[in-house]
Amino acid sequence: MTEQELLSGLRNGEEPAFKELVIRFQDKVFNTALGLLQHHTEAEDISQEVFIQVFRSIENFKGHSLLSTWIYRITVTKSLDLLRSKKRKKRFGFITSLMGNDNRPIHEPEDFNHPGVLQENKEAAAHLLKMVDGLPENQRTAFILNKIEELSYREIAAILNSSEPAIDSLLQRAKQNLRKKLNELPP
Amino acid sequence: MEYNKRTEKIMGSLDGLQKAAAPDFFYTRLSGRMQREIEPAKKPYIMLHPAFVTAALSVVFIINIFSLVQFNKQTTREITIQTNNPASIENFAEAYALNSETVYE
Repeated sequence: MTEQELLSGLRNGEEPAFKELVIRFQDKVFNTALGLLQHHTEAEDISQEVFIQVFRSIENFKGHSLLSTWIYRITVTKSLDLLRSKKRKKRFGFITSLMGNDNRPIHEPEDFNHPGVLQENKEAAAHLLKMVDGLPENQRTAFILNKIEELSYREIAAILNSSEPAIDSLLQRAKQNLRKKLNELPP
Repeated sequence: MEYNKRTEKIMGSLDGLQKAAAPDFFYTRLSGRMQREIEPAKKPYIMLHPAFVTAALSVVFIINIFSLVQFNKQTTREITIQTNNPASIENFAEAYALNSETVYE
């Protein structure tokens, strides 16, 4: 099925076309969401939401970009929205704990282990992903799309509505920040 | 020097990474969720369907016509009863003291 046939089937609400779309993109969407969210259940949940969004708004897709770019963009937006909402809740939880409304300790998430990391790199990768979690949103997104989803600078630029040189500079800054943070770690 | 070595080892730890695959039965779970979320959301739109709107308006129109006819019939009968019954006219005159003499006469 070509992309045009797939799109026409989706616009007509045909289930086989939707199933084909899910099968074609589910791994890409899940891997990207997992890289950004670093949480298996949340990544699956967001992946489902991405496909529901695609199903609902396929009429809005005008074909100015590739279908994959559009789907990656929805994945990134939804994942970042969830991260922002989690951050807000965490901040609010911290404030209420300071005010004495809640005596429970603030729960720090465990280190995330990406299932695709080589066995001998597991510990180091968990360290690195923890540091990635502290990067600014745009640097983190570019880093994950490049390192975890292995997308080219051109593809990342299309997803983030940016230019290739801007993505190159974003990734350079992300790596600099990571190196700086890693060097600050105790031996 | 040791720091740099460790940093570079960590920075390279994602090299050779295999992409994560979506969990098994992802599509089955997704279609289940869509049935739960999307199907109920569609139901209110039935109310806006032209056939439904026309049928509903027709029913309202028929009920109105029927009520109007019934009301007219009942009112005519009541008036007939009242005018044909001399007792009711007397009662009316008595209630408004129309048959009593007053100081003004």
